[in-house]
Amino acid sequence: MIKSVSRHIILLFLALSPGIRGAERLYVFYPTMVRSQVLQKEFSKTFAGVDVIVFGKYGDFRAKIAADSSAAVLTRPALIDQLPGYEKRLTGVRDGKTEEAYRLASVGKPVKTDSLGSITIGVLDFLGKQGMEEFVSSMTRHHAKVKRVMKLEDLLPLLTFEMAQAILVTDEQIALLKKTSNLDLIVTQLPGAQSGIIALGAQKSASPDAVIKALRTQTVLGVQQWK
Amino acid sequence: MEMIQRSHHRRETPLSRAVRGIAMSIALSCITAWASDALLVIRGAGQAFDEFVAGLRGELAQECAISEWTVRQGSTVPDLEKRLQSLHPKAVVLLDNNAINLYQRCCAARKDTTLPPAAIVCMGVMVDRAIAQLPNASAIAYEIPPVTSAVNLRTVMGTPINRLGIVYRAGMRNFVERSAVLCRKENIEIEPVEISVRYLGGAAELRSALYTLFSNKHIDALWAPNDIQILRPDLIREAWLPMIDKFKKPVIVGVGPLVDPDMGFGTFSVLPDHTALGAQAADLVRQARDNGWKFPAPAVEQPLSVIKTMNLRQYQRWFGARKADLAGVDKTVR
Repeated sequence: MIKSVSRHIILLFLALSPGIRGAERLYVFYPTMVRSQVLQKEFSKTFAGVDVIVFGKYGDFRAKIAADSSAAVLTRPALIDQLPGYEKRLTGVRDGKTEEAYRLASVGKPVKTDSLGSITIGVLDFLGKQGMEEFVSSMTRHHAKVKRVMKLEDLLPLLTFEMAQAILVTDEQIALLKKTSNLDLIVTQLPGAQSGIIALGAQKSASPDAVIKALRTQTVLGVQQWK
Repeated sequence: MEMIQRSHHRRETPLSRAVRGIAMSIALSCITAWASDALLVIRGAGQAFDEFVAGLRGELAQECAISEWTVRQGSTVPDLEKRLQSLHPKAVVLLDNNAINLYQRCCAARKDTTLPPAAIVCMGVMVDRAIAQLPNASAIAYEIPPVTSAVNLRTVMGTPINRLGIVYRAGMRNFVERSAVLCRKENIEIEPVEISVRYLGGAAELRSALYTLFSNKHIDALWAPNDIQILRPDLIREAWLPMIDKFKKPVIVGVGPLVDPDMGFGTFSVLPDHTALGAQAADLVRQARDNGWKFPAPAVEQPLSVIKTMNLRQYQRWFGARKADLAGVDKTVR
């Protein structure tokens, strides 16, 4: 009996003591044109003492969360809303804003916003099939057919091969694509189409102190401030 | 959302309860039907196939019951027929030309006149020809279009690629013509030279074609086709390597070993991302399913996602002063 109680006390001590519990863990999923192995190196330097894993694909990120959901996550706020047990702890601020506008880009001519229900819209996948369909629908206010890609640069072949008539992108994404491509990309505004840029999420009971400390002192993914 | 809240406040009548029950049963039966739709992947053995299937499963695991059957040496039409009879798949995914050929022979031998499963053809050579001989089929091409490769190389090097040289044989003429149209959208002009290399010889003809491209057409980069005749070891030794080394222009290849720094051939390889290809194929499966498991017409999609490898040894030796933007490159070899 005494042995059993002692074992439980030791286990409780191990669980509560951050030094002994081991390093905090952070999963990052924020697809850009930069490969995840490059980001992984940068993050490992920025977050000294934190075990960081950077994911390049939504499916890999969700599979990891399904297997082990104890890590903090750095990703788009809309995705944190999708993760069971997670809540937003910090919201990233870029150029004074916590949200960014989404626009449509097409080749040669603007998109007719009254015909959005009948076209295919390409989008970078960060919420899975159903999530992205709902996201595109909420941004465009139409139920367009959605074609998801895993990497940002894969949006260009969608337009080149005419597999989509438009792509849904942020200003930052369209700037990167224009740097890469000579396609005559025309931007169509979508009034009110805004979504959160990036946030730190964690399980309700978790205390990702080392991650929060690192975020507050350094610029990560172009985010200068955290609220 | 507003509608759902409103319905919660409405008093439920026996009729509305019955309607709700029926609607739920229909919805549940639809979900069950989708979940039990059988999908058979007829594949080869190896990592590329594993990655493809992982991508496919990642997308469809909740929607279809996915089975795999690996084609081996000695696999026969009756073996495949037995598998098809036991699974009754709504769709088959055919990975590589061995699987395509076996399935083609199986279809030809079948007397069954009911709708054949929707066939999604991937990882094969000349899939447009393959699907023309298959019932109810669509495909994703395996060759990465030159426009994709050239745009990626341009991004890495940070310099314009206005002229892209291609040597090819007559069998690729249509591909080159289609590629020229796509490249023009990106302000890249294809400079093509058709050669007639057959089973023996041809080094002089290939050398002359490459000389024309490098010296007279002033190409900014060369795209090497995945053509086993043009990439024969003797031609690599006697034509490709001397000309590449002489003119020192970036060479884009579509085969992994050709970007090996010790070989001195390719500067940049662009290969299909097999996981992404599997996910892209899942979209074709859904397309067929949403149309009663029938493709309206045979169609070939282009592959969207690629894996990029840079031969840094060659790049630094030839273009050392020009800093490569490697952040978007998947792999580097030195």
